[in-house]
Amino acid sequence: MPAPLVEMINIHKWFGSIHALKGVDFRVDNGEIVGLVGDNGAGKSTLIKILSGLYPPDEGKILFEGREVRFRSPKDAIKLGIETVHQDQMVVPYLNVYRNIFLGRELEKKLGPIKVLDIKRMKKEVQYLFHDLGLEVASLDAPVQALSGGQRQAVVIARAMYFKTKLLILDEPTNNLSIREAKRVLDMILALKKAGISCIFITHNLHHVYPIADRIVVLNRGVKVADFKKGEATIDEIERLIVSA
Amino acid sequence: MNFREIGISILQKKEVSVTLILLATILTFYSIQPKFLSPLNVEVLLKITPELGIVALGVTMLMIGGEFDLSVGSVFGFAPLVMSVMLQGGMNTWLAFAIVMIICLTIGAIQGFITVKTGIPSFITTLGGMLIWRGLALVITGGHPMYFTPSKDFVVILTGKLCPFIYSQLIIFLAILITLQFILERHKFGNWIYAVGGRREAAEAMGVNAGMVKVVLFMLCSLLAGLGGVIQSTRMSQAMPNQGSGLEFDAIAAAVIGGTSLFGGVGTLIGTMLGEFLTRVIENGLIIIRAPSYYFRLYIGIVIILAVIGNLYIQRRAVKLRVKK
Amino acid sequence: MQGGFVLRNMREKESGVDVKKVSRRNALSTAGKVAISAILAGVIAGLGGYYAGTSAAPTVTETKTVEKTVTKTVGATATVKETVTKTLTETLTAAAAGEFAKGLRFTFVTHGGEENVFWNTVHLGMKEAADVLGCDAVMIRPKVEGDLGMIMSNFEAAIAEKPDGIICTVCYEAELEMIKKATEAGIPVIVSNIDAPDPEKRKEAGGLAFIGQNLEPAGYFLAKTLSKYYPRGSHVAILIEGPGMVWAEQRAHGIIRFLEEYDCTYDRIDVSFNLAEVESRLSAYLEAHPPVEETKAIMSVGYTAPVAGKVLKAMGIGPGEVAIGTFDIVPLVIDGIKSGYVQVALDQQPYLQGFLPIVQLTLMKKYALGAWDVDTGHAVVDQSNVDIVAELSKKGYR
Repeated sequence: MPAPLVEMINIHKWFGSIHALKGVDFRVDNGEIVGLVGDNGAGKSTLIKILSGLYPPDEGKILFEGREVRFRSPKDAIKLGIETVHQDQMVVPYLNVYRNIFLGRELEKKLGPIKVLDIKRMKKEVQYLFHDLGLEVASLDAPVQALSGGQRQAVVIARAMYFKTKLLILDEPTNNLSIREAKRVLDMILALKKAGISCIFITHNLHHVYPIADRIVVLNRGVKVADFKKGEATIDEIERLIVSA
Repeated sequence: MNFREIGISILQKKEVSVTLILLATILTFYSIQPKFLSPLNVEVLLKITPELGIVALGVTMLMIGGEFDLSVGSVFGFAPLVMSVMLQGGMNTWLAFAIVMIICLTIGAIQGFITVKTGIPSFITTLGGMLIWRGLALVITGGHPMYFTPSKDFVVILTGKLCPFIYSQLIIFLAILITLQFILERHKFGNWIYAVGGRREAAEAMGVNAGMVKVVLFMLCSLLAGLGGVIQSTRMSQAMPNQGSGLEFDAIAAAVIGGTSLFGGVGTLIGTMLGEFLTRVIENGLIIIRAPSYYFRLYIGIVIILAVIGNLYIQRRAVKLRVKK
Repeated sequence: MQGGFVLRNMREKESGVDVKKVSRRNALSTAGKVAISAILAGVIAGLGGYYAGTSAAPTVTETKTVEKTVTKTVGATATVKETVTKTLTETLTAAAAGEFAKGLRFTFVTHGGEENVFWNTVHLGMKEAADVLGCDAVMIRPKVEGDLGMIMSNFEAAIAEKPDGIICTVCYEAELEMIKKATEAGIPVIVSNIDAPDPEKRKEAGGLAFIGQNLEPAGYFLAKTLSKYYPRGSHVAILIEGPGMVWAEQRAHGIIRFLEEYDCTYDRIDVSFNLAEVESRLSAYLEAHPPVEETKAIMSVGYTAPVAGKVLKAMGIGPGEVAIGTFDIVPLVIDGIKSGYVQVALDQQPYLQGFLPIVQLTLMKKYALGAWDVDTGHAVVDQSNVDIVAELSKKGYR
């Protein structure tokens, strides 16, 4: 059996005196969609923030493609091919769409001895991207704060889609979206899986994730209480596990 | 492009407010006293604005990056004093200048590191810096002004008159303005500055080293503060311990009037240049129309509020306006 | 980095972003509103300043000659006060407006900050001279006291306005350059309050006269006037509030010159204008050099000598046993004289430093007369006139 794409082993995390994650093991295989569910405060966001490089784990280790890795900053995770759509949309409100999408990985061209931003190419790439994703934003130069919540979410997902190579982490991606927009996100995720890209999908909404997930992992107050393969449990059973004391 | 689109794109510029106020002020002063726009007076304005404008540019860059530097006035005074001591010791002017610039970069780096590593608000760290560098200046000089006697070629290069209206410091100012503007708009570091100031966590989530960006901005700010001070001392042939007192607020005011946000992520260097120019215009204009100088603070205060309200109003409208493709 | 992802099966046209159609009216109204408020701001600023400036226009009142009688009886201080206040109020309202210098404009560029009370008196002198003569005079003070950059830009603007005459202080040698520029532009310049360290250089640059206290002779004069109260060969303490500063050193030099002629020994005590510091340093000094037995006189180059009165009182020494002399009139000094501890105070008469330059410049402009140096620094204030001076000081004239 090939090594799983990601393996998080015995992860502990404290925030002050709060023990947010209590020895969680978490695994994602290649080409797999994993739904990470649990009630508020269960530790889902914390777990994936550790995986995306925002916090270090206090205990435990992370293996990526079989090798142990230590992320000093999100840059390290990004370099490995892990893209994250955070719950609090990590966009800079005053910057426009393409500056946000390419933030930290700006496309450049040479101007004599120096490298300058290749704005034309960035705009073009974004136009293609949006076109393919069926998004339409009237002005790429407007600051993203001018977009609606749903459009901003779409931009953020589009960003992850553009860069993802191996693993896409989505923290509550369907929250601000209309039903139609949400369906499209789910379709996008399925298409990514077909292209061999794994996905971790965190949500409150079991009905969104249940149909497309290969596995569902349930966290309850920092502890992993279940790890079901598709079909092994019903939505009701999972819900009961989420809310159990 | 039709008129509507041109109009909208102009309104979306942050510098609209300050430009209108500047034009209105110039016209008003001129109509009361035409001497205001006499060649002699225009030359005066172009002569004295650059050295303060240079400091304001550095402060603006740092504000876009989300931080404040209250020590610029003290560094403005401290740098030429240190250079003066070296010059009196017989050191070569250019060497002394280079060393002083490096000292300024170090000051900026220290203030930057402390702010970034400890998480103390930059307001506080640079407040401490303001007192420390000013205190050092007073200790070194014992409160007396010192002679500032650089070599002739230094004086000419930094403050020489190139042609009517154009002094060397104006060229230096414009060169710095163009360079920084280029970095902000056309270089990836500029994108990082906007991002770190606009929403630090978003920038960090995308892998930008926010701490490094801020330290660089602090260094730039202190460097330009020192440069401004050296230029002024070269013009006056003197380095004074209380030089630059209160400059930090002048610079922040110029930036805010020009359209830079106190909260970071939004700013304009051209706006700062216009804001600084407006400050000097009011100061100079009040003298030309023979008003008591007590009115200066009153007017600057009114102008700041009007400019900021104007900016907010325009920005809110402009954000809602979109050009249909 | 991979490029855009082709997801053709998902292409559904989004309803797109809401577009707010920009009507021409909308854009114009926004621009209009801002433009109007900007113009309003500029106009208010300009007009306000203009009216503030022209409010200095002289009001016409009748000229009244008023006699001032001062009874010199020390005992009848009550009656003296009454007479003085009555005649004073009459004098003050009689500042008449004239036509003598109509149309002339003068500008005073000073280093004194806006909070410096001393300069309020100079300003008052200048204003009243302008009122009496019927000309326009304005004083430009830097936001930060002594900031050379601000002073120089003020000076540049003043020259650009091309007044009929400029009065300035020479706080820094760099200002000589500005005096030269003004003179070359045809504007006569008179120096007031602080002269250049080398008066010859000032004259070369075009500063036609100096009106103010000649510091060194003033020091000499203070020590000499006070010498009525301490014997030849005494030991004297000198408080230096600004060690190294020109004004302090020159006054000290004058004091010392007299003391050496008078066969006295002396000590310099470096202090500042921080009165608590003066008190503590002086106390320490007097412990080591006991007053009356050893230290027979205390003088200061600034105005802090009256603090010695407090120190002596604490040591159980009464007024008059040790001679105390000081410079400048501040409430501290007035109280000191009234209490009897301070015998002599030397006033540099800031009112004159504002009044006289206007008079001289007017005469220069009207009758091509020359300027002349005036030493304003010989006004002695002591027990005999302290009450009048106290009243005038409260009103800002002394």
